[in-house]
Amino acid sequence: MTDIAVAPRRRTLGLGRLASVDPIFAVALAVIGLLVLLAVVGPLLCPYGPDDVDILNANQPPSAVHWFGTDALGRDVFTRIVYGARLSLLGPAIVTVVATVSGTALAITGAWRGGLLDRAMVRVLDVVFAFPALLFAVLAVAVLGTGLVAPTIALSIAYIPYITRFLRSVAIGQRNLPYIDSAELLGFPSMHVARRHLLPNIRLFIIAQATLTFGYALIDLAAISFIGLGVQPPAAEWGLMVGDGAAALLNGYPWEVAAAGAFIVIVVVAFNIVGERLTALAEARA
Amino acid sequence: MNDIRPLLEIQNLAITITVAREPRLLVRDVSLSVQAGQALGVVGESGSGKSLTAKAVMRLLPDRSQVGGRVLVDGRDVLSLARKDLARLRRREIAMIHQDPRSAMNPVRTIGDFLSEGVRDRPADERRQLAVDALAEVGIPDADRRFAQYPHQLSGGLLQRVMIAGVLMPGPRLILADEPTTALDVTTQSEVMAVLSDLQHRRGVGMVFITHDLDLAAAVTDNLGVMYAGSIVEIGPTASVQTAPLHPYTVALMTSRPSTTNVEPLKTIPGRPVAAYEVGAGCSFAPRCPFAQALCREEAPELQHIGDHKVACHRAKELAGHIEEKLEVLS
Amino acid sequence: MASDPTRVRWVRRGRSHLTRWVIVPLVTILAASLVLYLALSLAPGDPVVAILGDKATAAQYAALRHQLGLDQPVLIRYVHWLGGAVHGDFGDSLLYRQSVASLLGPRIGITLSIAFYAAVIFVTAGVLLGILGGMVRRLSAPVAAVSGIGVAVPVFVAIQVLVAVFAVNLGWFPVLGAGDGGLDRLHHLTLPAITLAIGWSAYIAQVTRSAVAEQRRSPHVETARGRGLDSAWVFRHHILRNAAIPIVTVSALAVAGMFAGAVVVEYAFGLGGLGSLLVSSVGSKDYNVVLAIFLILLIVFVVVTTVIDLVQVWLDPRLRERQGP
Repeated sequence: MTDIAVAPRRRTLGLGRLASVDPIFAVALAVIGLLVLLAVVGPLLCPYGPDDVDILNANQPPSAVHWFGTDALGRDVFTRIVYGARLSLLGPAIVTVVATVSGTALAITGAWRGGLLDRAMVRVLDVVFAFPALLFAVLAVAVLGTGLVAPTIALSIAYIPYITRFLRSVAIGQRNLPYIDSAELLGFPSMHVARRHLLPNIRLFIIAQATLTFGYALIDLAAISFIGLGVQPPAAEWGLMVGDGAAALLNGYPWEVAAAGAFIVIVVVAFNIVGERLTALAEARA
Repeated sequence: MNDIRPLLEIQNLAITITVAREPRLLVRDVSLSVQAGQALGVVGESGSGKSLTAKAVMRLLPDRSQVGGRVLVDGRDVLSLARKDLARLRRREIAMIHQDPRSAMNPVRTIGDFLSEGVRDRPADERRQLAVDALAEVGIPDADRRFAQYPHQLSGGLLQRVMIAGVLMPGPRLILADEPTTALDVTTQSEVMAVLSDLQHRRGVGMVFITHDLDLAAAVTDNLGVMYAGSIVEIGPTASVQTAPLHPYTVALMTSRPSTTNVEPLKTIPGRPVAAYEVGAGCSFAPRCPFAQALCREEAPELQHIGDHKVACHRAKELAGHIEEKLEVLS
Repeated sequence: MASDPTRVRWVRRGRSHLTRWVIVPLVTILAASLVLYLALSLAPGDPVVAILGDKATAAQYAALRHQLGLDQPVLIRYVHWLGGAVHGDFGDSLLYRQSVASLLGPRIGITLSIAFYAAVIFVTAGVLLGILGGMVRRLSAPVAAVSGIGVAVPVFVAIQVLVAVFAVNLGWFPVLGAGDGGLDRLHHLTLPAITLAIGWSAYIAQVTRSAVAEQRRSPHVETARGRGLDSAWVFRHHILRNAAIPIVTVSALAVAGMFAGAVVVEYAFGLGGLGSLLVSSVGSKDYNVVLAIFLILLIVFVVVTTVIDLVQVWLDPRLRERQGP
């Protein structure tokens, strides 16, 4: 293959084209879109409030009045899912942004500067990367107390090694390509080259990683709430709902658990699919 | 010419490979033959289908491919052999030398493992002796030390010689050398070619030597074939193809080599090499040929005998002997 | 005679091996434990108040603080704690009023049993599934799809599904508790272990499938087939042998990562292991217990990552000469 001394540049990410040839990718994107829509305008669809207790109607199966049924306290599950969407998505969003930005910065610095700094960083990353993010979150809760704040901070830090490792190897792969060489030969300072030439060419990788990170963060945050160390009742959050609904499930009323669980799985699968396809696309273009 | 049955005979080989759900014709209609003890060079640019032709001889084509025609090794059609017979053919009769020894050899297995794999059906002590002899034959003396080494510890040239030793250990009668020196630097190239050619002559085996390097092919082969867009456009004894090429493509290839003595502008062939599936009606080279006429664009030429070699060109007879001058005039 | 060059090389090799496999892990554990201790010391809330209540006098607080050694600087406290930890003395649990060590003892066994049980399941299932997906072309897409969903199902969701089906509906397995030794223990731990194993088997299946498929397409496998080697040999010595490198790495990482899921599983099934103890201790701010459990986890991690390193070098000769990238 001939080497290219001019970096291949695209104006758009070309996602539209990918969506038109890959139906699964299109569906996954649609799911994510619907989810955001649900989180934003969903409350308009709910005649009930998320905290409207109605003991007399506890554990009702899905009906025209209660689309997803009710939970053990008679609260409308659909409403709680919709309000839960906000909480369940906010945390991962913060984690993703912080971890991706930091991870990218670290990755590029390591790949570009090299030397002792890079080697030390790699060493540290190799060790930290195996430690599960969930346990970081538990530690943070131990220090800062329950709620969403502590786990979110912890996960934002915990995912950095994972993102940094991946992007660093991508950046190193790009560093040896002729277009970087020619930019450096022209006398541009190192970091400038990184910002204006490298970054646009790895942005697809970055976005793909961010997407996957979102999925992992969603699971971990829901898990923290499930074990009672995250979002506290009576708030509506999907992980918490799976935990709350466990007793009802054992008694034969699966609605709350089914709804919350299904939403979690579907959303994470959607993000995983998008992340994987984007990664494949990025690798094919590289 | 020869009444003896050729060692290898390819008749009207056609290969179609499905890429991204699209069937692509990559080898159009290749016919050639190799006698025992002789070397046939197959020269062409990337996309001409030469590697695929070689792989077809051993039926090493990708899963999604269709093959037409016949490939006769000692009179038996490889393409219709049963699995067991095919395995025996690969084990004992034919050997393939790949382009890049580093990727063609398993990096986590030792050189010793690599060598002894090919003769697994022999007893252990015989295997060891065969390996030592094979390494000696390619010019690698301290066999015991080498046996314990891994591919990444050897240089490219050394590794390619090990590959040659390895595939020749079972004593095959036909060697398929698919660009064996392309991945090596120039000085190592000549060393490895010398080893290979020497081995070929000493053992009296047939060889198909595939390359894009004309000079290299001319140096070690008895016959030379030129491939373009999935078919053979000229084939004949090396000496005459080299000194009196008849097909415009062959001539262009010869003249486009940079001169090591004169300083002159580089002559190139306009356009780019095409694959078989990109060819329309008519001669595959017509779009780039300075001598193309209406007939060339309408009707694909067949291989015809002119002198002691065969050419696929409508105007070959007419242009014979004057092509170089005409090319000079045109460029 | 002048020093023998081979011997010098051997000694230098030995020294760098010692550094890499023993000293670095130890230093890592120490450094991480320091970070851990410092982090927890920052936690708000005064344990002295927690013990005496908020009606005691300042003098009483001061006395207890001195007795517990809480009036000394952080680093000194760390050293004391570390010294005790090396002997297995982690202090006392504020909540249970007994030594932390005695609390941990029986629970370690349960956690290890689950971890081992789950690990056996997910490695076997994952690798087998992955091999099928990688070698049989028609199964490639189905395996990819199933494992794609499997990795997205979090442990706590899988728990609900499996419990609903197997424990409630079919009644095959108990819902809570760890059982009493032997076969009963195995019975009780089966559902938790399977739940834990689902996500990880899917992940390992993904990695195995792609590794096996990649090897199958590789030039060196083509060379091997071109030499007439039979498929069983090629599979064992060329495909599987090479794919083993990423598979083993990922499996070891999965074993490490599994402990997070173990916490969730123990909590949900009411198993008396380290995980459920961790959750309750964090909730009740029983820091001595939290510290001890995290230290154990830390040690497990560093050991596992060191083992990964070792195994990788053993499997891949290309990694043997150099220490760096």
